[in-house]
Amino acid sequence: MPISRRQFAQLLGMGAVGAAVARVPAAFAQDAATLRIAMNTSDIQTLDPHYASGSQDRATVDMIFNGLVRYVPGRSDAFEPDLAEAMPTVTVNDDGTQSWSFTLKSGVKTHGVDTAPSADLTVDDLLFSFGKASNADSSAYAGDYAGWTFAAGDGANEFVVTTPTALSESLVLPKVANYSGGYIIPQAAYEAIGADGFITSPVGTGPFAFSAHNPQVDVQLVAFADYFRGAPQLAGVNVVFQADPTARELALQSGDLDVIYGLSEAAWSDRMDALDGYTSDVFGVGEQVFLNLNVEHEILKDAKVREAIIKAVSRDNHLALSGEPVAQKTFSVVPAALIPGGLTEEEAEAAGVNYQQDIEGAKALLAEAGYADGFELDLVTSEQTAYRTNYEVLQEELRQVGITVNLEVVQHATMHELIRQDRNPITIYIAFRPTADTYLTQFFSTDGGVTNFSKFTVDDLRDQARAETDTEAQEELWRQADIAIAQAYAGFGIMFVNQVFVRKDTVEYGHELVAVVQLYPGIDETTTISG
Amino acid sequence: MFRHILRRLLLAIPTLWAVVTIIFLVVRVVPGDPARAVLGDYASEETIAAYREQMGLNDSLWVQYKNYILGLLRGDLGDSLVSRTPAWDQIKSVLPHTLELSLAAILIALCIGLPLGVISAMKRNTMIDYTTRIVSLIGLSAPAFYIGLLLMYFFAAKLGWFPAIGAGDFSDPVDNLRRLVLPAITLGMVETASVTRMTRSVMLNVLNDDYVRTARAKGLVESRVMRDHALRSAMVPIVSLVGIFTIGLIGGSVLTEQVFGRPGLGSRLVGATRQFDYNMIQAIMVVYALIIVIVNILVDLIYTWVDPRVRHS
Repeated sequence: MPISRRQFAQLLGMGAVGAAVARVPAAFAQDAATLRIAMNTSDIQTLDPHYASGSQDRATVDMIFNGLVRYVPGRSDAFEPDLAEAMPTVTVNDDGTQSWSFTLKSGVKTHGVDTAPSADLTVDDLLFSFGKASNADSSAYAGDYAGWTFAAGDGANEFVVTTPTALSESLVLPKVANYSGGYIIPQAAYEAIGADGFITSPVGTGPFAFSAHNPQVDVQLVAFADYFRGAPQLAGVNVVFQADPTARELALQSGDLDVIYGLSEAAWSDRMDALDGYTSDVFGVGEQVFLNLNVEHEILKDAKVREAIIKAVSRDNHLALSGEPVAQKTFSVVPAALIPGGLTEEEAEAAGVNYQQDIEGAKALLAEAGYADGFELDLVTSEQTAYRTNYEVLQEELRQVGITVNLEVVQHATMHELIRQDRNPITIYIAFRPTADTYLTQFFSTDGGVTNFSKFTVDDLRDQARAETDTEAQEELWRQADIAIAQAYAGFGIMFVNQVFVRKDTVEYGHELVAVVQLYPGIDETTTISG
Repeated sequence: MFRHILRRLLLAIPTLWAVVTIIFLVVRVVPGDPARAVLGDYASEETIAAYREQMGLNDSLWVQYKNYILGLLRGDLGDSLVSRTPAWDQIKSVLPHTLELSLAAILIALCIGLPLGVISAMKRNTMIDYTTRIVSLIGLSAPAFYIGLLLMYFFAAKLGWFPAIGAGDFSDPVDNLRRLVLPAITLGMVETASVTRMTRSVMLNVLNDDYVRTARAKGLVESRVMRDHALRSAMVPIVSLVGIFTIGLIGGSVLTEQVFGRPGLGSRLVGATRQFDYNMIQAIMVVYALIIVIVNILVDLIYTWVDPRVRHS
């Protein structure tokens, strides 16, 4: 059958489109050795590790940078040398200060960029990096290093950190580890790229070097062949941004991704785990969910009212939002299961602060306080699911004892702004902090400032614990602080919510996953994809 | 026509000024601190204060406004408060993806919606008409993200024909096209339904007009009556509608972009709003306003081609 020129052109066009569409595997087949991990967000905020706080940023910078020491991969409770040759030696000086001496490993190479080629990391870089981390103009974590000084030591490659008072390892090591201000930034690269440029083009010493940032799509990292622990087994890592959980799940199943940030729901985790070829990992560190009750609020200043509020709360109700083992109960504002210094259930029970839901008891307490008919509270919450749902559960719990909560849902950053202006007489806070001291300082001390939501302080106990170098005695002091907070009905630990990531069975992280402070499974030179 | 375009462009200046001024004020009225949003909840008040100072957020509103307007006059849309890179650089990197997706969706809508609307009008109150109307109603009612996830489930996760997420690189047109198919169909389906219903409605009106009846009475074949008399006349309101759709798609494709993990202007605006990135929000709104002006001028130009009365007037 003859065809016209127009019909021929149409067929040709259709054929071209069909051929393009049919080239599926070849067109987007990925290099098998590049791991693609999807995070629950639409883009990075900053890749300057001294500002990184979002989970996508923390995960990415962890692959690019190192600390003097590092958390043992997959764990949050043990350290090992990273850029340092060995764990530090400690000296208490005559003036009461304490010096921690590290020896920098020789031959650690920095990633290279055009304007700052790869070079050996030096003590000067350490001085620069800690100088930056401890300066509020160039770091979000400057407060962690208040009063600390940094200097080159007398020995070769020696670096000395001096703290204003004697501190225990548990307070010092997290701040020189691969976390927040502890990440080491090479001076030459930082100065060549500039502070602003470093936000999206970081340079470190880690197993993977920054390659590209495609806004709203991904960050591409490539294996750093000169990595001091040996070349990574992966060719690279693509940190993909996909905020929609269903799309992440489908993209994992379609083969577009190897690892995805999951939902913090046990049912979802179980469902994914049951799929052939996939493994759901539930691991720490969990984000602690706890109540802060303002002891200076016109109504809550009466301890009976605060006690009634706490007795209206059921940990089980909140736990049901995620389900075990994704969520687990905590019995103090410092989560004992995650870090030293918290109360276990038995310890809380023994101290008489393991408060249980008691609706009638709460009503009676309110009546005693002169609020037999209840009262109203205005609270703001974030639009983020974790916050909103916990506040909604609290709203229903308080309704049962006659307290009406008017809940206003606002943007996440707006909530943080408003709660720092004392808008909430009851503040639910959800966060992981690496030490008990950090929880107590930020939320229950005078130093906490605007984040001392309860206005209740345990400064003395916190200070005593800080000065205590005996680990067991220090932990006991933290527990006493926990008990004091609970006895004042100023704070109430509800639960912590673990991380959930799903991976293809072909992905091996290279370490056992127990808890990772960087809020992702931990990808390093030992991570592999088989098959 | 040149004077008309020039007049439209001049009229756009006060419009743009009003838009940027309103946006400048509105984003600052909403409670929230960009410094807090950028630095996270762990940052100390000292760090927050230092950041605000660095980014000029402590300046008076008037000084910020003056600096912003002066920057605009120099063609500088400002720097993102989050990435500290020029806002235009970020817009430049995502705008082609948004335009690509929007144009593909419009193309799908026109290629399917126009013929379906015409056929539906011609076959009024028949099974074809009923089916078209029901299907288009479903298309209008189904949320884009839901259609997107269904398409992703079948064509990416189950059949593996297309990638589930990502936008592809323009330097690799084949990959780019493959990554465009599902999002374009998702977005195009909703628009197809709108175009179908609009075309049917307009065509029904036109088909009852005297000049169409006259054309038929003259003995013209039906296809010519449709093509040269009915459809051409019906195109005027359809072109207006498509113009409005195009503007809506450029801003309204955010759900599709997010489901398919595509960069885009809408997604960027949502992200900037969440981060209180004032400069980014303002820059995107300026670009939106410019796009609206350009699309309207294009629609005017198409009018003159479709309807000679406009040209002669």
